[in-house]
Amino acid sequence: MPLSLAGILLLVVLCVVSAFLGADRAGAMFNSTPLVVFWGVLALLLAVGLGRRKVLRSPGLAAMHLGGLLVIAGGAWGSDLAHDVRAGWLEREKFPDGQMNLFTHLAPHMIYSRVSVAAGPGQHVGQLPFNLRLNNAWVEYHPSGGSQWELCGVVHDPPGRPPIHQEMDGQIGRVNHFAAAGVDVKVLCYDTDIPAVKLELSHGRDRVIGWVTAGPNAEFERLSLESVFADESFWLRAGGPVILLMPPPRIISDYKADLTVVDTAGRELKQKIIEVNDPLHFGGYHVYLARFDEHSGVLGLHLKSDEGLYWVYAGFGLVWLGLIIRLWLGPAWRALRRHRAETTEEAVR
Amino acid sequence: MIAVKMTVQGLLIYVAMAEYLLAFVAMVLARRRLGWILYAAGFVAAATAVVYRAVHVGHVPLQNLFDVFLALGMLMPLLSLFCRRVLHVGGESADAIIAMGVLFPAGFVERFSEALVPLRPALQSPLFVPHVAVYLAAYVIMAKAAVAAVAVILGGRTEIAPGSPGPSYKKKGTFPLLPANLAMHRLVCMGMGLLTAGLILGAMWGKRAWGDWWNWDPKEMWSLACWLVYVGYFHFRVTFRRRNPRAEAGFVVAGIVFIIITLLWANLSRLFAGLHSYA
Repeated sequence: MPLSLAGILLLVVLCVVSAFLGADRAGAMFNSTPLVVFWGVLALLLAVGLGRRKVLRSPGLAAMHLGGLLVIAGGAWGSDLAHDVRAGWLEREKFPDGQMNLFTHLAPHMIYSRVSVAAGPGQHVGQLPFNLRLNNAWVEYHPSGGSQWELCGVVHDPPGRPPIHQEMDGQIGRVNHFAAAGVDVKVLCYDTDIPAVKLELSHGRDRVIGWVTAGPNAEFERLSLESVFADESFWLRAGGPVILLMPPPRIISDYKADLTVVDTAGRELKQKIIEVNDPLHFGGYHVYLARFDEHSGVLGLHLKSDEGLYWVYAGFGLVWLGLIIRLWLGPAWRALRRHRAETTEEAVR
Repeated sequence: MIAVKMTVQGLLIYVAMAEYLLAFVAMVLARRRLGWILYAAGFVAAATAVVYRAVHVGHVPLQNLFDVFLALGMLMPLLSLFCRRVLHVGGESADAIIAMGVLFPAGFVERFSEALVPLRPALQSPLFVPHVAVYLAAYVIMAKAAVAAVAVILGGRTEIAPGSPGPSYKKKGTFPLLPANLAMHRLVCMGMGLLTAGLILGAMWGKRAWGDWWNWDPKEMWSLACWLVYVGYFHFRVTFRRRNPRAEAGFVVAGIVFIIITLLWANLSRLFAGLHSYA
């Protein structure tokens, strides 16, 4: 028991140290040779604990120890080192993980199967036991509201000097004083379908109402103020003041890709639309949507071997079940029995 | 930066905080009935704040630290009631001040903004809400356990001698409370199940979202360290046959320190940039 306690406390220290190293270095540290030995010792302590009479007699304790063993064993079985050992000794050609780049402009005709490592060009880690065909990939956005649009006034006078920008409050009903142009700009309403904003421009007694329309893919649209000051020669110069409307920044809600698994004979085996939180699982690999660039049309997939995963999940289940039995259900059952015994005693008296 | 949030959300938080503080004062002055009424009123205000937030953002509000502190403030009275009625653990005055304390960052710290931010793709998993909710409940229970642990360290009433009958639950309507040492252990037992569930759900979510059930992320490492401290607590109890209650209490206090580090430092510090740096 003291050895187990020492092992636990040592693992606490290692976890704290690794938190300061960052994820990559922490992963390298915990997979280094000294720590592989440590994991082996920890597994041995769990196995020894499992063999003790007190633990075997308690379903909860037994489940926890067995669960812990399965998690360590599953993690070890799925590690990069274990994959390399199996590839070398057992000639099992299964890579632990890799990356693939697919191209939307080649969809849906191109078939992909080679998997590379993203670290360097031309680094090839393996071949999938199946093929993938990209049918389509796209990005979905959260709906945006008019109040998030950006209104800005710009004056390019005098020529040759940097333009003057003035941000405005785009909320409906707000009146902004565009100081450089001496104009009051009032936001009347938005049209989210087009999209566009209706403005009332006023300068002294002159008043004009106009729409500034932004295209769906345009960065901004501009409204000239010339119509407000038709009799002023000032506004006839090139670079006169304008109001710009920038559409609200689109916030991505999800990335999606429609993939089909195809065998070497061209038969379709499985089709799935993958997204973040929902990978494709086939042939011993999970296929994740890692990144997608709408402009270049490059879809990045991350492939991960599922070796050892279900041992880990079984271990999780046993650890939690064991805890519930030992720490929740056991005491509750004893309290209930005690209460019944006391109630029976009272009834007898 | 500290700032007063003059919004409906902010006002609801301040009302809840004031009621929790008054509840604490009333309970300390032995005005228990008044204290419970104020505590319940604080819960109503905190729950209203959470519902308002949910309506405002359009989803269950557990996305960032502002949401987490808000939910913690609401959860506290419910857990106090559960601990008293089911676990026979008291300490509601400490709970009230903890509830006020966890609402402070949401109410006054400018960095924890209530600004509407749509959910990122990775946070749209069905595992996200259970993972965070279970961790919240675990943190609150472990905080209560830490208060009992401090009482043990300071020489509070320890467990009844072995062989004596346990607390009597015979009287209807009364809830005899456990001494500090037993209360601490019972709370740790309760919290450990929730902490483990949170860790497992997080690992499963990580597998679905990022490809690996363990990414060696700093927050994951701190969470595992925190869980292992409580595993160490149980092993210590068995190894030394419960002869060292103060040392056991030391584990529980260390556990809450790790929880605070996990919740605040690991989320906020540039020292620990990683997958969980979303707050």
